[in-house]
Amino acid sequence: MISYLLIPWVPLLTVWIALVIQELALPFAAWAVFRPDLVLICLFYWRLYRSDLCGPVLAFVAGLMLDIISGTPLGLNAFSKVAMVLLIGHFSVRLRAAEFMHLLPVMLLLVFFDLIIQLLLFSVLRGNEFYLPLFFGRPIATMLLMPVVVAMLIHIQKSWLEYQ
Amino acid sequence: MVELLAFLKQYKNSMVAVLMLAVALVLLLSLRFYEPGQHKLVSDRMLDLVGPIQKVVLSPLVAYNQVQTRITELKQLDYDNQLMKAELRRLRPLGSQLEELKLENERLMELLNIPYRPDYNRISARVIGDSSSVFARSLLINVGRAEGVFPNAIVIVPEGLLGRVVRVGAHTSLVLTLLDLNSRVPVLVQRTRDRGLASGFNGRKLHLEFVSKEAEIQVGDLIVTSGTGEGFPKGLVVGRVEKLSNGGSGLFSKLTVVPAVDFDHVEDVAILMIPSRKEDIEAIEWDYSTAERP
Repeated sequence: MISYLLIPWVPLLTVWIALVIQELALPFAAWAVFRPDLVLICLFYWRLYRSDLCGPVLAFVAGLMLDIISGTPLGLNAFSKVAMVLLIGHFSVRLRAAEFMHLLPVMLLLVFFDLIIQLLLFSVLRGNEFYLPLFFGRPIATMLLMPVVVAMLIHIQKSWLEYQ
Repeated sequence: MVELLAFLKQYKNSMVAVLMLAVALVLLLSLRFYEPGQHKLVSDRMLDLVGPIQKVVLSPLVAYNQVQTRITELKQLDYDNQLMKAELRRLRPLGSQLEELKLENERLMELLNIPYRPDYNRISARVIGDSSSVFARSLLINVGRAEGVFPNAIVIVPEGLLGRVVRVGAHTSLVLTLLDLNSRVPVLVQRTRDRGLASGFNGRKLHLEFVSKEAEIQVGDLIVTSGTGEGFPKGLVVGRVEKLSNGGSGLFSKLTVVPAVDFDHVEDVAILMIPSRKEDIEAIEWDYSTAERP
């Protein structure tokens, strides 16, 4: 009964842990460029396979927490993550049908789009502060780490969410 | 109203999405110029929530860092240990050198304690060679003409008289010790004041010759230089009487004297010179090389 009540919160919990690891466990300056976007991987996974538990609200909350913790302008990540979740949701049927290896370049593009949206918003707010290495480092790092994170999420899903 | 509810139900997801995007934009534009502290309260609360999780998440990293630090410390310790061992290897010989210098210092201090005679110049020297053989008992020292040494200069050690300089080179000199067969030193018995001549015989002891048979000399009496003939200053210790002999039917008794100086362990010496006598002595320089050997 208790586990049943906790199920809706599992995606939020995983996103929260991903956020903590992403922003606090790897806070070193050397990781700034190659820091993977673990939050986006989580949102991607849950949006594809448990869209009932992962919608724009979760993306908004995750993005907002990311903004608060990372110190970026409030709403920047919130906006981009909601946009990404909507984009994933739009192509979810096709993406679910694709093989996992084909999802890797998709994730690469998603991170890239995420950064583009943030760059555009940021340019509006503060002018052009284009940091080119970030646009290559972060998507690649996210793509490379995606199999590991997805494997863990699959395990969590099978262990906790298949009570329903 | 029903239609409105139906519309809302139909487009619920889209409206939520639009709402979220709008809220994000509003937040973004209302707090467009980020200032630290602007949403500090919210940020602080978030960090309070994140803290415990961060601690758990970071614990492997902290443990890893601690292990890494420990390994680095051990490496440094090993490196330091090697350095210390190398330093010890370098310094160990210095310990024996230090001991040697200490002993040398003691010897030199003893030399300095020899009573100063104002009419004598004193030069310290080091024995650099022992040219003793069956036929001679002489030592080589590291001072010569350049240092002001001249023939017949008197060589002493803290224990007493060692001998005299017989040959002088530029920076070395040859010392004829009391034990040499050619050595003759006018002496007297300190207690009885009887005069005699201490002569070497290339052995380890001296003979005391030309001592009257009537002299009441005892074993252990101290023999010192008499100062006669001005070859040696008066009062330098030569040795002690070891054995008495009446010398048969002759006029003089013959005694055996043990030298005060241990000739086998002489390292540093003092040379006494009378500057005023230098020229006179040089004029009658004793040619050691022409001395006859038995």
